[in-house]
Amino acid sequence: MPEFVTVAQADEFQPGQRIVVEISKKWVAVFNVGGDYHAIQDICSHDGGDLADGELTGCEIACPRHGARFDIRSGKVMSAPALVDIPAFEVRVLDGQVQVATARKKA
Amino acid sequence: MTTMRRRDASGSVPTYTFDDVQAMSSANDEPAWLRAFREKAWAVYESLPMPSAKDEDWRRTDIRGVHWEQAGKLVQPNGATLETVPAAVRQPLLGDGEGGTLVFVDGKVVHHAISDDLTAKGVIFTDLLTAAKTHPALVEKYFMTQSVLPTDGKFAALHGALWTHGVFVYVPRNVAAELPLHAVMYSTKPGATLGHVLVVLDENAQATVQVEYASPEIEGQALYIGATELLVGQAANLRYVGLQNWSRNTYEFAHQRGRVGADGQLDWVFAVMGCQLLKDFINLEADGKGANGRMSGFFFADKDQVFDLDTQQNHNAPLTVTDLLFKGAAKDSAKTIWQGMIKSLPKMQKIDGYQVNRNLVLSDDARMDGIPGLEIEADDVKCSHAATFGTIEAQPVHYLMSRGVPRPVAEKMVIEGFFDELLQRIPFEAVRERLQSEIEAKIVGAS
Repeated sequence: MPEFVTVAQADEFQPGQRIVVEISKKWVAVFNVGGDYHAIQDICSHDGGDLADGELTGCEIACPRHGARFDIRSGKVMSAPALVDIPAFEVRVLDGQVQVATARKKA
Repeated sequence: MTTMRRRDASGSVPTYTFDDVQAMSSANDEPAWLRAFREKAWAVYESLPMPSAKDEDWRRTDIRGVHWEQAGKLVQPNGATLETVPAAVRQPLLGDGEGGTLVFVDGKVVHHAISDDLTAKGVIFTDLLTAAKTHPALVEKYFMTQSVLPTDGKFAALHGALWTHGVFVYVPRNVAAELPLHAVMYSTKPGATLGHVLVVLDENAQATVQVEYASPEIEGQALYIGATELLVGQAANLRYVGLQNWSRNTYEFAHQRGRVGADGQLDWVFAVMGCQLLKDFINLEADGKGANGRMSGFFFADKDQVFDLDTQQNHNAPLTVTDLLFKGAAKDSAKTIWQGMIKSLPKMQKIDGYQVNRNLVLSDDARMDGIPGLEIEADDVKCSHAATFGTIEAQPVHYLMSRGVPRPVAEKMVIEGFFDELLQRIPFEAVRERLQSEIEAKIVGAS
């Protein structure tokens, strides 16, 4: 059973919002897309840039630096110039709290 | 324990004030020129924005992990003594002693010695604050005026304003300091120290200097904001070794610059093993005709360490030679970046610039970036560069296994062989052996 940490209260984290949190020295971007929560590492695998400020289309986020795209549900790379997937993390809502797993999802 | 922090939480930026600068000067009873220097550096610091991933020099290194409210608090010495420092770090560099020893714990001098022979020759080897009072003309002339400047960056400016301790070495004209000078900066507490190294070799002088940075594993974040200035005069010869093995909770931001005069020689060795995150700007300036500089760097990152090394070799005179070799390894989910540049100004003909970065990637999740660069504005030069990446070579491992060596031992031997070329450039056997054992500990994951 993975360990989870609370990152926000569910009623304060509305659809369309995103937050960035540091969990044990790793920066993680958490998204609320239409009521579903997703979390990915906030570092592009191409050039190390922050992803969280990128444009989100559906469940694909584009890196603000060079436009690499990732699926925020799985961390899977969808478009060059990045070639390598990024870690994604399980998110759950428990007792009104949004919680993110500390270990990455298995591929 | 798992911790969580929102990016927009307060405390993610430094909280220093001008009052801290004035309090530092008053507590040290500093001369007027040094007070004025700190205040000017503070003005530069305030005028510069905090680096972020949007800046070219910082784009590959995420410094959001620094908890400034804790890490930025200036460390106050609490009576620690020389015995606090591990014996291996304190031991003399050579079996028959050394020319001088200077040990700081939490920024306070706990031991200082210099041989009578060196003192008689006019060599100065003392802490920087003492030197600023006893040799003001020398220190004022060289301290952050010719090498690292407050204007070099946000952290260089902060260092100029709030440096807490430092080493000062001066070797007069035509003097050879034959036995090595050895300085240690050791930290025992969370919070910030800002250490400075200023080495000045006058014309035709010689010296060997080693500076070590270390701390034990501690609870809470520590911060080191450093500056190293190496000034090698005409036909002078400096061998300089810097070894860093901070605790895993330490964040280091540093500027280092060596300047080499005509026919001078600088042999500069770096080793980076410790800390959580390092951002180090390392510049070599070949200033005089015939200047020769060699930079040898090795680094080994594991777990979630991040090392970002930014080197620059500037050929500011014709007939200058610079030679850089940086070798690194990364395992687990560590990340390393080496970005290098060789630059030649117009009319600087007949220069010879070389830079090589070799990287050993020891796990799927480790990441190593190597970015060599050339900027040449003369047309009769010899400049080349290279960066290589690979995993452990299968062939030598297979060869060793065919001779009965088990695979883990064979792989360890190959990794040690990879670094051996650089280890041999450290002129002290005991130090080489210590680094060898630190490398071994990282390979087997016992660090």
